[in-house]
Amino acid sequence: MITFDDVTIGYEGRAVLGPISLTIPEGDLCLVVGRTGTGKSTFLGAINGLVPWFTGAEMSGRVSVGGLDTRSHRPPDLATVVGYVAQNPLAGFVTDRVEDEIAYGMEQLGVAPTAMRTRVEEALDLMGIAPLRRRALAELSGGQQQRVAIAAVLAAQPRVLVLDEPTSALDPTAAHDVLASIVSLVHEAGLTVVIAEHRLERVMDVADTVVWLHRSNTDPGSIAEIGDPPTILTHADITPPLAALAHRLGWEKTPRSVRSARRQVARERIIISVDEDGRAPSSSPPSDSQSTDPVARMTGVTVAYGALTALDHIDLALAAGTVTALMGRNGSGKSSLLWALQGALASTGDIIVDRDDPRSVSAARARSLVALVPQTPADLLYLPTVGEECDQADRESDVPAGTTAALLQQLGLDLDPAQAPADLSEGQRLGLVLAIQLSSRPAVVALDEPTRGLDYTMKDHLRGLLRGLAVQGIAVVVATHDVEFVAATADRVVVLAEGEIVADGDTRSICAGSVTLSPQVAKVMWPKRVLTIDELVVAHRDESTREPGDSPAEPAVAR
Amino acid sequence: MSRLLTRPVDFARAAPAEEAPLDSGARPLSLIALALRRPVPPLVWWAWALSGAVVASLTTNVVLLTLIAAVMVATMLARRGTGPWARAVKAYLILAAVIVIIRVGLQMVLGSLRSGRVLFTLPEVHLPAWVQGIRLGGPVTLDGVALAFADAWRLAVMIICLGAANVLANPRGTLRAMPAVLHRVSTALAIAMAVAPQFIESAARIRRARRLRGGAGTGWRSVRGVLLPVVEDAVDRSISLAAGMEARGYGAHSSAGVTTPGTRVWATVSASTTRSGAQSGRSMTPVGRREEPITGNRGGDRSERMVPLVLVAGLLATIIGAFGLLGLPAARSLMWAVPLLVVGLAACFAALVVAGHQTHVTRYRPERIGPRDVVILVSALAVVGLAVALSRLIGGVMDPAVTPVTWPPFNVGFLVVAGLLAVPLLVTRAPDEGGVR
Repeated sequence: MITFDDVTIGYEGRAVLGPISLTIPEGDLCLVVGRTGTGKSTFLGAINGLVPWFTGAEMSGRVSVGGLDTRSHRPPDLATVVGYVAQNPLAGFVTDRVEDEIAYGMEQLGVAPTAMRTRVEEALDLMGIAPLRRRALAELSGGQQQRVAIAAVLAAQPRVLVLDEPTSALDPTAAHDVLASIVSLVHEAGLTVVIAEHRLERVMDVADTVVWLHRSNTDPGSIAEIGDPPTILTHADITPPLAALAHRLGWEKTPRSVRSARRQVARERIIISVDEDGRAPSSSPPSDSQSTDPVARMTGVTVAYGALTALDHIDLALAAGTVTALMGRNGSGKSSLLWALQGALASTGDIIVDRDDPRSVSAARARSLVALVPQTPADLLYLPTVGEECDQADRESDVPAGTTAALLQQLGLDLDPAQAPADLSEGQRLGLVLAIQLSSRPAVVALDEPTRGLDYTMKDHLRGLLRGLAVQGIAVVVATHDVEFVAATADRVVVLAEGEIVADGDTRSICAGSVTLSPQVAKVMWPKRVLTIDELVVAHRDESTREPGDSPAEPAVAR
Repeated sequence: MSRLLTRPVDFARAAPAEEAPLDSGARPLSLIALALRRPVPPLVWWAWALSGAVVASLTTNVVLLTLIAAVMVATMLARRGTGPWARAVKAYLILAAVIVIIRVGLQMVLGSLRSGRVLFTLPEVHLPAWVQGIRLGGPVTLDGVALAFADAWRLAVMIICLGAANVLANPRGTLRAMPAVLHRVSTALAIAMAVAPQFIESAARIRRARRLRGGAGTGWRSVRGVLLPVVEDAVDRSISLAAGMEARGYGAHSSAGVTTPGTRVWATVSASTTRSGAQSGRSMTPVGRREEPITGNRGGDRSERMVPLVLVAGLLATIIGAFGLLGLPAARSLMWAVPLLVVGLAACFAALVVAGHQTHVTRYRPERIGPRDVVILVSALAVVGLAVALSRLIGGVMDPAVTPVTWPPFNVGFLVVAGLLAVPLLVTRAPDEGGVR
C-alpha cells in the first residue's frame, strides 16, 4: 500500500532520513517507533506528500501510496487516499463546530452535497461522536477532539490513515478510547493505519508491523527496519516495559501484551520475589526528622473558575526529600493544584511553604518557594539563545553568574550557549527550563506533565534527575498520566478526581493493586506487588518448559 | 458502513437536546408551525436589518426613528440565540447612547445653532482671533439640542439596526452563506474567528507563566517576554493549521499556480517571522520545493477571464445607479438610474454565480431560503419602498423643519413601516435551546 523506494530526506544539507526502502502492506496497523529526533514526523509527512511539498526538504527516491507517486501528487490531491492527523488536533481545526469540521475536507474536494451528508453521518458514527455533532470544538475534551480530527479525515474516505502521536496529550482512559477507535478502523473498515507513538505499551499488542527508525554508523540519516513487533522490539533501542521484562527474563521475543506475558510466566513456572530495596536507587526511606515536618502544606485549598470548582478543599502535605506523583484524569485538578501551590493561581484556604504563603509574597520569593515547570515549558523561554536565558535566570534568582549554566551541566545537558531555545529538542527544552527554575534554590519543585514527548531513555534520565533532587532535600511533585514513570519514580501517589483527593499513599500500595494505575510489570506479576523490573528477583523457573523460538503470542496452556 | 461499530463514548457533557424524547402528549406540529420554527438564514436577517437602516437614513423624524429602534430591539431580544454574538445587545445600545450623548454634548459646547428658546447658558470662552470660526459655550437652546438629538438619534438607530443583524445572524453562518467565489476570503475570515480566542488563550497562559520566572522585569523586557512566546505559539499553530488544510484537500481542484502559493506564502511568512531573531531556520524552509510549470489554461479560460470584468462593471453600474437614485433630484435621475441599478445588480449576480461554478467547492448543508424567508425579504423591500415613497410625498413629515422647534409630526404611514419591520416577529419563533439548524 505504501512503498518507500530508496528515500532520503534532508533539510539544508543535513540528512534526516534514509536511505529507506520498505513496504507497508495493505490493511496493516503499522507502528512507527524510534527515539526522539529520529525523524518519525518526517517519515509520516512523507507518506502524504507534506514532506517535501509543504515543509520544503531535499528528497530523493520515491514514495508511493496506493499507486500514486508523491512527487507528482500534491498533498491536497492525496487527501482521498491518505488521511493525515497531526499531533495537536486543536491547532489543525479550520472551523469551530464538529459537523462543519468533518464536512470541511469534502467541501474542498467538491463532494456533492447529498454524498456529503451521508459521509458526515458515517464519519460521526465510525468514531462514535454523533452526539457531539453541534458542539463547539474548543469545548470538547482532548480525546473527543482527537476523534473529531480522525473523523474529519475519514470523511474523505481515504484508504490510509496516518496519525502522529495521537495520544500524547491524553489521559490513559481517553488514549485507550482513541486507540480502540483506530483499531476498529483497521479491523472493521480495512484501513491501513500508520501511527507514531512514544508509549508503546499502549499500542504494541494491536500492531501488525513495526517500523523502527534509528541512526546507523554508516548512513547519514535514520534508517528503518520493518518487522513484526516481538522481533523488532527485542533488539530496538526503545524498550517498552514488556521488552525490558523480556530482557530480564531472557526471553527471545517480547511478549505483545500483558496477557501473553502472563501466560509465558505461567508456562515457564517462573516464581519471583520482590526486592523492595532494589527499586529507585536513591529512595532512602524517609527516615530522619526531615520527612516528619512537611516543607509545604495545603489546608482546605479551593480553586474555582466561575461555576466550575477545580479544587475542592484539598489537604495535602509534601515532605522534603520525597517525590510525589499527582494522578487523575484530564481536568481532575492536577494542574490547578500545582499552580495554586505556586501561588500563581488564586485560591482560598491555607498554603504554607517554608513558613511563607506563596500567594502573598513577591513573585521572586514565590519562585524560591515553589519552582513550577509548566506543561509547555517553552512558555518560560523568550530570549534568543540558551546562554542569555541562563544569564537572565541568574539575575532573576539573584545568584552568582554561571549558576544556571552549571546546573544545566549537572542535569547532564551540554547545550551550546549560542543555540536558540526553539531549536532544542523537547527533552532539552525541559531540561533548560528545569535548570532555570532550579537556579532559585526552591524548597519545592513542581512539574506538570514532564514526560510528554519524551522517549524511554529520556524518561529514565528524568527519573534520575528527580530522584537526585529528592536526595538534595527538595520536595518534588509531578503531575502525570504516565503510570510507568510514576511506578519507577515516585515515593507517594496522590490520585485526584473532580478536584478532590480520592487516594493518597505510598506508590506500592496505590499502584500495585490498581487496574488502571499499575505498570505493566505489576500486571504481569500480579498478585506479587512488584513495581519495576529492577526489584524483580527470579526465585525459580522451570527451564524444561522452555523451547527456543517459542512464540509468546501463541495461545498457551492456561495456568 | 454507517454502523460498523458501536462503542461507548465519554459523553460527560453531551448536549441533552440530542436525546430529548418527544413530549409524548405533544401533537405533531403542523407544516406551517414547522416552517416558522426553522431558523432564519443569516443573509435574510441582514437584508431585514439593512432595510431598517435604510429607512432610518431617510428620515430625521424622531417618532419614526424611535419606532424603528423599538422594533429592532424587541426583535433582537425575542429572537436572539445563545451564541456569544447574541449577547451583544447591550453593547450596541450603549454605543447608540454614547453617540447621542457625544453629539448633543458637542452641540452644547461647540454648536453654532444658538437661536430659539434658551434652556441654560454655559460660560462663554473667547478664543483668540485665529480660531475665529469656533465658539465655546454660550446659550444652549432647545432648537440646538433638538437638532443635534434628531441627527444623532438617526445615526444611533442605524447602529442599532446593524447591531440587530449581528446579534441575530450567526457570523460564521453569514460567512458560510457567502457566494462560492468569495470562498477563500470567507475561509480566511472563518479561520481568523477561530484562531482569535486561541490567541487570547495562549497570551493569557504565557502571561501567567511569566510569574514563574519572578515576573521578569518591566517595560520592553516584560513585553518581549510575553510577546515572543505568543508569536511563536501563533506561528506554530498557523503552520500546523496550514498543513492540516493542505492535507485535507484545500485547493485540490484548482490549477497548480492558483492555490498553493497561498499556503506557501503563509508558511514562508510564518517561518521568517519566527526566525527573524537572526537564528537559522530550524524546521520550516518551504523554499526548496520543486515548482511544476503551469502549462496551458484549463478549458473555458475566456469566460473565466470575463468574470472579473463583468463583476467590476456591474459594481460600477450599481454604485452609479444608487447614487443617481438617492443622491440626485428625483425627476431627472429616475429615468436612467433605475435601469442602471437593475442591470448592475443583475451583472454582479450573474458574475458571482458563474464564478461560483468555477471554484469546484461544494457546501455542506447550505442555508435554504424558504417561503417564510421570502415573506421577510419582501416585507423588507416593501419597507424601503414605502419609506422612499413617504419621503417623496410628505417630505415635510419625514424631514421636519428644524427651527423653530416643534413636536415631530406623526403620520399613519409610520405605523405601517413599523408593522412591516416587525414581520419577522410574527413569522419566526424563538430559537430552541441547542436549536435545529
